[in-house]
Amino acid sequence: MRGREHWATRIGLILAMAGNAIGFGNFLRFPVQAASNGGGAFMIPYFCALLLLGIPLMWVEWALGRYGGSKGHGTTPGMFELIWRSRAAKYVGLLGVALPLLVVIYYVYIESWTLAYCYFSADGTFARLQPQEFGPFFAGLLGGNGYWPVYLFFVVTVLLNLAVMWRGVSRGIEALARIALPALFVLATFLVVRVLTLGAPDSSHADRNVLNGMAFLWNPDFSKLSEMGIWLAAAGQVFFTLSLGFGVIACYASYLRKNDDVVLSGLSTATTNEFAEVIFGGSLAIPLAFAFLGGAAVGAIAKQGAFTLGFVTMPMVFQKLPLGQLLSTLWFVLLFFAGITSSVALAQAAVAFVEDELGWSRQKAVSAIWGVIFLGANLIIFGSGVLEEIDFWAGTIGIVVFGLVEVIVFVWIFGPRNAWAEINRGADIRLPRIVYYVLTYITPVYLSVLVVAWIAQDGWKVLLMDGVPPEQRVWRWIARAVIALVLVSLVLLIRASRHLKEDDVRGQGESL
Amino acid sequence: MIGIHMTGAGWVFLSVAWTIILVSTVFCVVRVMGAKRPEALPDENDGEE
Repeated sequence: MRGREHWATRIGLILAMAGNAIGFGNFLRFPVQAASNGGGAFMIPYFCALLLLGIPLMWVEWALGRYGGSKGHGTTPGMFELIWRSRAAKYVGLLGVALPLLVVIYYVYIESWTLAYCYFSADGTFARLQPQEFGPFFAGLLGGNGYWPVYLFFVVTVLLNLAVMWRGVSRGIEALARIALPALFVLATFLVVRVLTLGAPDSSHADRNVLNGMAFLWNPDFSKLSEMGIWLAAAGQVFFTLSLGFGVIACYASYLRKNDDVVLSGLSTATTNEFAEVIFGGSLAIPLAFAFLGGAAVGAIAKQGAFTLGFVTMPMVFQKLPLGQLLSTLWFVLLFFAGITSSVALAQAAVAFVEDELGWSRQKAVSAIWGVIFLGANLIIFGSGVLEEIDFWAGTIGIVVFGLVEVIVFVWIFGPRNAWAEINRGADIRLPRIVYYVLTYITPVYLSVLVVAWIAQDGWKVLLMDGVPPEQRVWRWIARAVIALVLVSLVLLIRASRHLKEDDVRGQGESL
Repeated sequence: MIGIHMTGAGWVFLSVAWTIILVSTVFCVVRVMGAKRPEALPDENDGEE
């Protein structure tokens, strides 16, 4: 068996795992979700989902990964085969490679916007724009004559990711996390302090102040708690923010040593992510936008989604502040750090899969996978609606389905007692027994309800392209073909690797 | 739209959420820093199948 890399330090591992989890969702998606789903009342289903779904599933992925890694498997196809002795195991486990690969194809493109916006903030482009020009600027950059500047930043972003991953897990990904995560926390702290001390920037609108902006996010609307949608939105946010169901946490955990702790490290990753999400994410975009634009405008922005908040509203309101050029640059640097630590994690699953299954060198695997990502992302850039289609199937429904599969395989097929023993092996803190019952019964039921509810709520509509503009339909079908192509290619790779391994065994037998 | 002045309930939700997260973060930091195992210690079982 080829020796596997390990994380150099525990802090580096926790920072890399937290970097995987902390992404655009913490700073843009969370405030929009909370503001649109009952404000403070949103935190009730949010914390329920975190305790009953998020943290237990986080421990499952960590323990699954460490178990697989100790036997030479860095991705879920090999890990599932170890636990579930069935020919189907590897093929089901393929989702843990396909989903992050599909998601990183569009994620890296969004990441390149943040790099482009760092530049446009720093060079004074935004300082010269009128408030009403920020929306058309963003739209034009993505779909109009501005393709090439963004394309240039996209190429640079791909090269930066490639350079980090080329150096390996410890010297590349871990080294990046040790710099980017502390820098992200320093930047976020600075920006939060600046925003919270802003008061009411316009004296003619005294009610437009940061404290009322916090009220917009935190005043509870209890009537929303009776709606199924808020519970689904909260569970979805927890899933997305902790990067669960991608197979990436299991892949990262495969580089642990077999007796390393996963309980405290997994919990530390979750709390670090929640700190960035609830404390930083909840104190930046919405309160700042409220202080300048007022409640009605922020309500409308929240309905338009996270991209409008991040790439139209935020650069616009920063320009109204003293040192706005600097603050806007720091905001996009923060988003870029959040993005790159997540994109290298998403790509790592596919890289590890090729290394493990085909026996390719790290550099060859990284080059091949980033070549695929680069080509796929071009489809996202030039095809209208491709991003939304892949995001729904891979980044929304896919991760919840795969999260359920992971729990079934690790807890039920492996056996609840084996799973419990595996999670607790080498643990630095003792888990209360109630967690065993949560893992065994509540988490799988919670996940099953989510899968059924989401398919019933959105699945049919998306499948039948309900409400999709006619000009997008061809691109949406192309996106589905790409998803199918990725899955078929991975199946063929698994079959090729089987033949390779059989040939190896036969060759060794003959040489003896 | 939710009210634009911070209500008592708003303060309660904000304080409880922030407290839970801050306390858990401090707990994790203290326990990770205080864990006995030294970092980067080679594992005796490395390479064992």
